Amino acid sequence: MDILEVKNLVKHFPVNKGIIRKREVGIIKAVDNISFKMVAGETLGLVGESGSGKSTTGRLIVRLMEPTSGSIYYNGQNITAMSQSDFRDLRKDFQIIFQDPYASLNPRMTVGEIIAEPLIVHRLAKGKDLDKRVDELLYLVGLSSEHARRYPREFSGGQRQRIGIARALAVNPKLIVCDEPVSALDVSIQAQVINLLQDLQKEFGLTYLFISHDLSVVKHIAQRVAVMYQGKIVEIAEKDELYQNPLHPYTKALLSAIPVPDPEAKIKRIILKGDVPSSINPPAGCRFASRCPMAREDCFEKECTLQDFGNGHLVACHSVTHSKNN
Amino acid sequence: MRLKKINFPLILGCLFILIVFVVTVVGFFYTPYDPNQMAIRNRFIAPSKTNLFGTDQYGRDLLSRIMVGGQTTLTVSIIAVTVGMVIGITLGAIAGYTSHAWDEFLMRIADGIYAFPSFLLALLLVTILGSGKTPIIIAIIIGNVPVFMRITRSNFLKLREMDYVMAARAIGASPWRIVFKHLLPNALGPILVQGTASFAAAILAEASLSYLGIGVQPPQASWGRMLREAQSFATLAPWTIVFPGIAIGLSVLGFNLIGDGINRYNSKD
Repeated sequence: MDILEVKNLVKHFPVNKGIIRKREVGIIKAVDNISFKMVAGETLGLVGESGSGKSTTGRLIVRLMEPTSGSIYYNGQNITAMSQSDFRDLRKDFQIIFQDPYASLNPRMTVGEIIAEPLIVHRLAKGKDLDKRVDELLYLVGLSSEHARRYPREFSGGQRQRIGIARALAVNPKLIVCDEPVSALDVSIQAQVINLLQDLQKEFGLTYLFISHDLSVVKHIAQRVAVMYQGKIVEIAEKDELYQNPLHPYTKALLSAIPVPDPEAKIKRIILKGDVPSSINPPAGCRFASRCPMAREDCFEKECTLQDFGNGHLVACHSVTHSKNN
Repeated sequence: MRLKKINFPLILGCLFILIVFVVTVVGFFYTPYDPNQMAIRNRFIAPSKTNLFGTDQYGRDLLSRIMVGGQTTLTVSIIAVTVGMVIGITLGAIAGYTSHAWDEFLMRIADGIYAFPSFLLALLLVTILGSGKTPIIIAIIIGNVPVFMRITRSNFLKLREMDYVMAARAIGASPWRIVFKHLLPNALGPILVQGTASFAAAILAEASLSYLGIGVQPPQASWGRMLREAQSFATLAPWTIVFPGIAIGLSVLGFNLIGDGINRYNSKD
């Protein structure tokens, strides 16, 4: 069953100039008309380089930002149409885990207070029950109850990330947006946190939107993967399909950049020419066209939309569509 | 816990302020002589066993006058800075956390107040309200409000984008909760540092306004007034100007050191 459906989601940020009278000189199209579905209990990996709009997508889903247009359906209910106050009760079902474990915990609150906050806000527990629940949550993420009285600064990055996970779990969410949860951690700690996330998913049937730029981490945790470039989803497929048979030229280039732990292995590295174009006022046509080794004439004119290539493998690319049709 | 380095500025600052406070508070209950009792025969006695700080041109005991004058100077600055701080933090929080329109509206007013010379404002208020403590207090409050508005607003703008504030919003925490639990506690460090600097400035402001003769009126004592009255006799009886000067200097230095100390303490974590 689909737990979440994102339909034509758009988030534009205006770029203003001028001191007295602000003029709009451009629009950053952070998220530009993306659509995808998530099945309950799955992990969808969302990959892309910085500035591709993946974090914005995550924040739109937990409604930390209002979309410019488009809608998000949660269990068939359009949550973007709800006011923030109506959404408050549903809020429990959505949580977010942040990238930087040093910025995501309030330095003036104890770990116990941090984990208790969602429970207090939603009036889920009080007094002794509250303390018990906080202990439970700490235990769940591999910490112990005496950690509750300490301050975040006394913990390492990995431990802090565990605290952030405990806070997210406090309200028994259904869907967790993991916004690069391990990219700020040491590689040895990354594995521990990933395993913790997987264990918790099994135990509570959580659905993850796993945002990352690290393709090997995504390969480990995700069942399906969506690739974003400049605010668009360019390819989305089952994990094995995407990693073995990438169709979009951008995905191919990305995958060729994964380091292989074998010095003898000969991989053909696809090096893209040029830089990522500015996302302010992007040109018409495919965003990737100027850097694409397979670009055709129509790529510069017409935007491409996601086309189904079977088994839920969707690709947005004129050349790929063209070569399939011929 | 790590072994902490001794925070000398904080300790020294607290010590200075403690001295000033003890001397002033004792003045409520006991002074060696009546601070306003004139005795022309005793004029300009140099510091001695009978008059520790000496006497002024009317033969009044300087130590007694400093003890009582501190009451005026310190109450004026404490009331003025505290009230200015509370108003400034409130308005700064509104500007920094509500809408862009409120932000523009409030901060442009703050700029306007900033641009108006506070001495001129004090003179204006004295003209309207007559001299005394009240116009000085009001003038210092008005001068302090935009200072605290700016510092609160800028910290709020910075902190509201922090991930832990995002997390609180994702939890569904109310704006009140976010302001009082997440923003204010984290903005308080710089605000307190500014507060100590403002105390120092307020003491100086009261002293300079009294020095100009628009503060408390004679025979009431304040440190600034004492400086003014002693001015003509500075070479004849230097102690009349040195001791009030030390009292002002010690309090200003003390508050500034405390600010420095708080700053050091905050930058540790």
